[in-house]
Amino acid sequence: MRAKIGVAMALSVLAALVLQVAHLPLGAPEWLGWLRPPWMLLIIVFWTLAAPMHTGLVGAWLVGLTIDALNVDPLGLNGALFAATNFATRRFRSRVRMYPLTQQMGAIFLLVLGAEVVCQVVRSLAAEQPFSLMLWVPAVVSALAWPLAYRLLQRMRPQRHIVV
Amino acid sequence: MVGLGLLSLVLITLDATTRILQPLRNGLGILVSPIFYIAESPYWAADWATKTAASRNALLARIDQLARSNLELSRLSQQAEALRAENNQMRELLGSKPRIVDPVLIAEIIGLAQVPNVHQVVIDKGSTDGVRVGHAVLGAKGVFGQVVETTPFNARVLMITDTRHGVPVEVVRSGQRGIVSGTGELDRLEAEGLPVTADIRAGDLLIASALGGRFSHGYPVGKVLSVRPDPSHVFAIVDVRPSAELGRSRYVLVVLNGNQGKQT
Repeated sequence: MRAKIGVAMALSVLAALVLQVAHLPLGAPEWLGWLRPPWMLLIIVFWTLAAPMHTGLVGAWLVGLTIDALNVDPLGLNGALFAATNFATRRFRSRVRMYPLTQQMGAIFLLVLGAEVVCQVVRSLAAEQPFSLMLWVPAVVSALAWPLAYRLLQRMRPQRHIVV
Repeated sequence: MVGLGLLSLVLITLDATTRILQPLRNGLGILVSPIFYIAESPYWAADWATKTAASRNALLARIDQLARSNLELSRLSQQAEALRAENNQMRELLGSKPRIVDPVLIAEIIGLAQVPNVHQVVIDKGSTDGVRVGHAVLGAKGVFGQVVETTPFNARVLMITDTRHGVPVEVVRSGQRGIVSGTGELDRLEAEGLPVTADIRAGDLLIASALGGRFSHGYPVGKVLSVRPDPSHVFAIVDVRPSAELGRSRYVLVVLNGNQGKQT
């Protein structure tokens, strides 16, 4: 079980890395780019909820560092965000897992919105990138995508005594 | 948590204010570059599939069309050769140095920056191919951008439409100089700081003026769409349509002009 979770985790992290840089066919309208959810953040939340013992602050930070390298963000920005996400999710894990679906979606919305705000502020301060008010869009998309993760979480629940 | 947060803060500050983290960034860049190839592979597969499935007749027609355009282009380049020789002779008579033709390198775009508002692409040539920071990058029809970061096998190109990018230009018709900067939209640039009295009007072609030392003189940057006064009636707002097909091209040319490796 332990090995299985490790493999699933590695695969999902790899998939999120690829999705992070995958681009639309050339010529697709540019606003579609705003619909991209922060895949890696959602993966981190998911695994912290599903198997908290297999996740850690340092791991989340290192994963964030690779995202920084991919995005050419200031090094450490996503690292700090992911580590904070991991920390917060772990702290409220037992509560969040009891929430009904809509409430979980609300929590995801707030989390992603907060992360986007921090990202934009740091980017505009450190890299002089323009600040955009479109940042709520990824949050909405992430919340709408969460039911899928919720299903998976529900299915993993019966095995909790093994997982935890 | 606190330790990691502090470490991140230190890293972010160092990264924003100094260049000492460049080796770390390069190392990470090499480490993550395979991810770009994985992400690009579906497009390669689709490309390969359409090529394999294309009918013989369609291919023959394509070859025919390419042969014709090749003929036309080689005629133009013969002419250009003669004109260049003549031009250099004239310049010699005037006592100025002859222009050198810059060597170019064809590169394929393998990734796009996925942060909205940031117009950067990753190309499949890097410092081992001679690409350096500051090299100009051209599309088929005009200026595309410039190299801002290199790893041994890849380089990042900042496109002219990024809000942080500016190109010194001149108007072909009048010689009026200005700076064209990106707006964050793929099909619009803006010329900045020109007075309303400047000799520029809709339909003018803007070419790179070589004043910044990055872009060689004469490469087309864009066409003026409209000129209107700003609210103060002192400066003009000049909308420019970029010449290069920024959203559609898959191949770009890197202009390798040796002495521009230094970044300001």
